[in-house]
Amino acid sequence: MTPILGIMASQISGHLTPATNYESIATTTLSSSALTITFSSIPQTFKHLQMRWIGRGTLADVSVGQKVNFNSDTGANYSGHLIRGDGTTVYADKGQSATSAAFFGRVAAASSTAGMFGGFIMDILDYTNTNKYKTLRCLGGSDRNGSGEIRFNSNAWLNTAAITSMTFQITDGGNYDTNTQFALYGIKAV
Amino acid sequence: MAAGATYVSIASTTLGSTASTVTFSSIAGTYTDLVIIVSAMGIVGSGAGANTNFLRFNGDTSSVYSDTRLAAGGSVSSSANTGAGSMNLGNGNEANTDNLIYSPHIYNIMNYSNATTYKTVLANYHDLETTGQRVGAVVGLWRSTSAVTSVTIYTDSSNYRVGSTFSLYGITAA
Repeated sequence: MTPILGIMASQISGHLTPATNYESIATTTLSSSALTITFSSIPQTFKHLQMRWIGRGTLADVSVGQKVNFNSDTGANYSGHLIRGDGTTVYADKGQSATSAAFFGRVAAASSTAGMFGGFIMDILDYTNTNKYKTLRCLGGSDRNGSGEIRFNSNAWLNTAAITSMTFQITDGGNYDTNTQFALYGIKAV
Repeated sequence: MAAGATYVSIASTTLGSTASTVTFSSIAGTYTDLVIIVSAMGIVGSGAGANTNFLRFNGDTSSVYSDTRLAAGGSVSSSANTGAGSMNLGNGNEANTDNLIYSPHIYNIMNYSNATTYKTVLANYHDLETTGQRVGAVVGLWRSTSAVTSVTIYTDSSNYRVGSTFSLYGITAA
């Protein structure tokens, strides 16, 4: 059977995709705060990428947004849409077009109780294919004991270039806090 | 790291008799994330509807869990927060007949073994009951910096039906 990829890659089990087809590429754990986290020289030997991370912002707010750029492209070449819930309201938006990055969910920040981090899983599909614009989807959010956000995003990078680097960045001010950890994985296909 | 050790099966349970809880214990701290894949159905005494699945870590029943949920079914969507002595990971199918629809759920337990951060769970759930289907996502929080060494999943139905499966995987970062 054909494996279901994307967020569903989290479901990979032995009979669908052997363990050797899901490999760790690189991991970054912050020992000091940083505005950006970059993965460069990404191997071109996989079919899809999956980023899994926990993050927290240093800004004096309960949460802060995040974005990602590919291949250092900060031109108006990204689009996206989302659905999210904050515990009270469901919100959907298709309003991201011609943006300078792919924007997605919010991490807990410095006004939240120490120890609260957001969690995210992002799938970047067919990242080496030079005949397609690149698409991603991301499930993530942060719960803050009585408030929070869970969000499901889809975004496109309107470029056919193979993705060789990606840079994640806090958007509303401040940095990613210490103990933020990003782990990049590659998924192979036969 | 050696290829082949990144995404591994740790344990799996298929219920041969009904059970109200399923526990994975003595979980090694050698992975980065845990993934639990559930195919389950709750049992009720009469009627049919939705059960709710809950999760606890390390046998901790104190009120240190919270969650934010998002659900959609038909034209209705909703979002809710709760805080309690367990984490609400959404709904699944529940039946008192030989219904064969076991709802699929995926629970991602992020960075479960560090001793610095509270533990975050990302979940997808699917309630496939015949009259009130919904799909949802949850971010849950366990306000403890302890490493997760055991996970207990339970239902507000009387039990999980025979044939329900619970599979635990570990993902290791480089």
